[in-house]
Amino acid sequence: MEKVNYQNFNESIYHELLDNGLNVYMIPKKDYHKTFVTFTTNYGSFDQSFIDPKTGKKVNQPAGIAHFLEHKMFSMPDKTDAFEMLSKLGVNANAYTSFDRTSYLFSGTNNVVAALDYLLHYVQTPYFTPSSVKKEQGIIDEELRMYQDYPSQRLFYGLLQNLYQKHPVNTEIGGTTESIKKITAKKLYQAYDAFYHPSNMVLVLVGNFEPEEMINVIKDNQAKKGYKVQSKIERFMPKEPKKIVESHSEIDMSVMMPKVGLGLKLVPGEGLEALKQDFALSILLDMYFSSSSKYYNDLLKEGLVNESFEYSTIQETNVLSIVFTSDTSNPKLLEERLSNMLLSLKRKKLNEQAFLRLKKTMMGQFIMSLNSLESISMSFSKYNGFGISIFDVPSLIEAITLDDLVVLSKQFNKKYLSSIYILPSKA
Amino acid sequence: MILIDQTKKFKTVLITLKFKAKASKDAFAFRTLLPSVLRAKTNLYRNRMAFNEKLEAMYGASLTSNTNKIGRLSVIHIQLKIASPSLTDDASFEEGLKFLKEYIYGHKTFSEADFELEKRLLLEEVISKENDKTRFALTRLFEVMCQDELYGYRTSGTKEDIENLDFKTFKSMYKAFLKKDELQVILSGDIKEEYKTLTNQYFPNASFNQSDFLDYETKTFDAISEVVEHDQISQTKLNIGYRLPVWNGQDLHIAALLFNAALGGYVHSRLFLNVREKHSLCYYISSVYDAYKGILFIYSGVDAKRVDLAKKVIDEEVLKMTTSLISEKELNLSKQAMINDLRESEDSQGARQNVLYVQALLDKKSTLEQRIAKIEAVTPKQIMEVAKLLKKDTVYLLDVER
Repeated sequence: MEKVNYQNFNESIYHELLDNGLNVYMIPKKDYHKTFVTFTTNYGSFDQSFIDPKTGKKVNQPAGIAHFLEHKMFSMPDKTDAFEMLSKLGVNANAYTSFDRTSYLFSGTNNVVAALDYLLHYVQTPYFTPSSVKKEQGIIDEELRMYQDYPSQRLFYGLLQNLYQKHPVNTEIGGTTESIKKITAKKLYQAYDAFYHPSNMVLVLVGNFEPEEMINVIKDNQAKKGYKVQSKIERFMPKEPKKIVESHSEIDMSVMMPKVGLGLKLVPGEGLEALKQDFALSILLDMYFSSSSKYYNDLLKEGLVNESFEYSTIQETNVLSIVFTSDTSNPKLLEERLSNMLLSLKRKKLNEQAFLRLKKTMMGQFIMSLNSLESISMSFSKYNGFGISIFDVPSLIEAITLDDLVVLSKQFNKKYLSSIYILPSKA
Repeated sequence: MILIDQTKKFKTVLITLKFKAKASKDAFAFRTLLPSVLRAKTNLYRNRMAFNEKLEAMYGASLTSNTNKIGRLSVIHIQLKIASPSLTDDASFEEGLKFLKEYIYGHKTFSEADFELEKRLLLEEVISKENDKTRFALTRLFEVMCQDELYGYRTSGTKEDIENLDFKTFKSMYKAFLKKDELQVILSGDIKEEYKTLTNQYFPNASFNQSDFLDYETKTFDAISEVVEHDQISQTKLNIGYRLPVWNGQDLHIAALLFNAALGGYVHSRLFLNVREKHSLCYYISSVYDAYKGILFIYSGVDAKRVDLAKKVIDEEVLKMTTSLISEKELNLSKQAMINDLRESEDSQGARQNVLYVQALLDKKSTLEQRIAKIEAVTPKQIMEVAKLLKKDTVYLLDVER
């Protein structure tokens, strides 16, 4: 087992690549009670089109299948429910699907070895029948309907639909009422066989355990499974044009106050460059729109925004965007003011003092995030996807220069801006 | 009073101020608004921007606040979180204390414009919370069920309360707050000896008086109230409130916690398994027990077409708890889950602080091991005893427009 020490933080990471291709990472934290384990496949809602490793043929699958698969993983062939089984071991289990990953996780203070063994077991035991798929369609449809009642969810995806023509980021992770109807047991097996092979997965342990003991448990467990080597899966992502789809849209909903979303589409970099872009863009936004900024305080005084005002970057595979959202009594004026502020950044001489202060803030917030095993584990998987360790992040932040921000701001262009309003429906 | 949670486990230090006073409806709006008005301007930081810049310069320190009710107390929680001085800068602890002191006490004057701005923001926040229908439906349940009790009143005050709070009243209430509220300070993280001395210097006014703060207010009733309201939603919210006359610290308290856990507190609970999984009647269903007030409520999102069936199945599940003893095996699931939660909370700096604070309020110190032993000792008979005390009070339905 390979061990890397990060002295500044007083942390170590253990790594082992198993024969079947599974990558195992462990970060022991001796003074915690809890251990947090995530078993993650590099497969999310984006991955709808790929070459089936069994047949060598290209397949296209319905939107929402990754999330559907996640739900179905909990049903075991003996009619037991994996969720319940983990709960019986006294650990908290959960799972979630994002654009590019599906994670199965648990945290617990007791029975961690048994729970780990079981986690590997249930995720590696697919069991889908036509009748159980049908039942799940009902449950997921309810879940999707519930999200339809969330204005912020509608705002977010509505904006992404305005910005992205072809990229699957424009579809909800759970799919749509129509798309999930097309999911069958056969399609689930097809997706499962392709993406749940150990070589496409990562196991991360953070917390109170002995690394040597754990790696032996994991190796023994995996050795019995008899996985054959599988080569890297070829995936297809539609080529997204630079252009946006719509510069404006509106939705009527039962809200008390109108909501505005403003999005700006940018050209994404690749690999580590994409991550650097994301950091630089975040600092730039903080400089001009954080609670200490003149712009934000102007909008506040003008009565155009309130505490609901938020901004963020969206950085995903082949996606880079900026999104602003806020409740407001005057959607039109807010959109206009905010657009002008944002577009003015490319002509501005960026304030160096604010840049340095906000870099310090980003660093402090990174240190703070290391308190939580959950956030260590989640960030770990994210950064691991970029080929770096979570503890390399500070040096990456340190290396960001004001020029990196300038380069990004030059891309800001009115024709890549889109807005969306959610307006109170007239009863 | 200064409470200290000394530990090297975390990479942050928390300095928390708790201002406690007797809860009264007239002060809810003021107490919710206060923390925001205080950060709009101080003697030293002339506006919000300067104030927030200072936070950023302290390695992105975060200042959070909220006002809530604990039994009959109203507590304003103010928390400054800083990256551990050992990882950044040793002087940052004192810098944090100084900043907090300025934040609370550095107000020779207030600006009416700031006050009006913060008032508008709070009002808009209250309005926008109504967009969250799950939450809105719960607030409505409490308003209907406890309409003549303090509990039924919105802790942030109503929209009217906030609108009616004027600048002059605000200023005089601030003066009264300085005089009457009792301050407790909690320090957590790698707290060096000199930090305590410093805290005493900056907050010499910290004190503590013990009192019974539990909320015993209740009502007598024979019939169950049923209220149906409509909204443009696609999923019906079904909420049911019960009286459960068991309070924190009483003999059956831990049994009541376990009763709730077994009924609807976890995903292994009966409501989740039977209403959600077996009958696919809803997307979420959960029960919550408030031991400061002696009530329990079930909240769920159900398929609009099958509300009646959901009601029936829930009633059956609740009834079963009173007619047949829970097995040791099933009870054990809830015990394990609760013990796991207790241990896990030891890994959260914020949760540890809460435990410390609530223990001080209740004047009941106990170690983690003692708390675990109490959970282990609960019997199936006690669970049934609790179940028999449960009395259904109100059914509130936020229905789709039909």
